[in-house]
Amino acid sequence: MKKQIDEITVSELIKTADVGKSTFYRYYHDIYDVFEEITDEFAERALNVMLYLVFSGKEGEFDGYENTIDFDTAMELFGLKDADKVLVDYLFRTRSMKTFHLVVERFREVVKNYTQNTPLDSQQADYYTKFVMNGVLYSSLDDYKENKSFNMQLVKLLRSFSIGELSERSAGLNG
Amino acid sequence: MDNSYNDNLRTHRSLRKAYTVLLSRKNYKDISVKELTEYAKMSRAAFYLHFDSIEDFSFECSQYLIKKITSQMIFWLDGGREALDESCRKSNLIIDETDRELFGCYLSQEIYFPGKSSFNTIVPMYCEFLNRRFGLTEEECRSNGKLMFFIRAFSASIMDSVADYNSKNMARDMKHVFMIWDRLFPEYKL
Repeated sequence: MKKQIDEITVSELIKTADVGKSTFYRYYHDIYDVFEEITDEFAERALNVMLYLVFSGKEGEFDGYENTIDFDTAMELFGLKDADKVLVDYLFRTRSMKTFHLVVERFREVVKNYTQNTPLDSQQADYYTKFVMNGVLYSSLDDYKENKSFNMQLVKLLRSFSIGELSERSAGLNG
Repeated sequence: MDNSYNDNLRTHRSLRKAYTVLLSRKNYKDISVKELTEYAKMSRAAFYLHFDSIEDFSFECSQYLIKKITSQMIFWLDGGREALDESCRKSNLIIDETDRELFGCYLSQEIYFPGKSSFNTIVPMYCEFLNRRFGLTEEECRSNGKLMFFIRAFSASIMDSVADYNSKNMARDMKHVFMIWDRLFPEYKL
């Protein structure tokens, strides 16, 4: 991923992947199709990480960490693979916020599905989720750009927000 | 001195209006100084008195918008629910129709400026407000992780909906924001 998405040609890609041209076009319309699939899959994984961070894990699981940790360590901690690291780096560098918005939207959808027992009404919960996710996202982006680090305080914030307000729902998610 | 200040404002405003029209029609990368100045009925020399390049001008516009939006947001935070209700009743906003349209263009074309941060424009504005209301120094604000998080989250979540703002949406979102503030900062009553 050394180039921008519009600099990579299909021929280059299939040569690197050792895939035939007709095979490629059977599955994808163009290079953007491939990128979209990659980012969709990544969004799915990122979503699972978010859900894990927020709703499961033991109480105090993340307390042992320094406030700011190395970004690579954070990736490993959240179960994201090497391939994801490259993608995250690319997305952060080019500020492809579309993908991150995808994750935020998916997160909101999932959380919406469990609105029955929460003290918040669905509109409040919706805004809450958007608010917190945006905060975590943009803080991470800035921290990453400045010194390739990740602020663990964000995880604590995310958890305390979500477990506090949305906890009635977490039972549903684990069940 | 006063006249030249007003002239500057007028120049910036007519350029912004022209830019808004052009941005609604074409990609920002395809807009030249020549086209912009022709549309704004200004000479290129006059343009270059104020700006180094089209990118420079575009960045200035984005900062102008962000400052306007942020001052609106802080106005509501500061004034609490009364200020919010009044704004909605009078449909009286710091950020007007043209500004919103321009902002919409920036959002839809995903225009951004690598290496330049809007956060640095926003933070001093919040620090000023926090100092006025709660006596916090800029140093204290910047080192407060929760505060910085709030500023980022508040800005990002509002930016999304500014472009198609109507007073009902705004009032609703701000209600949630007050709730979040109370939860995060029970020691600082708004």
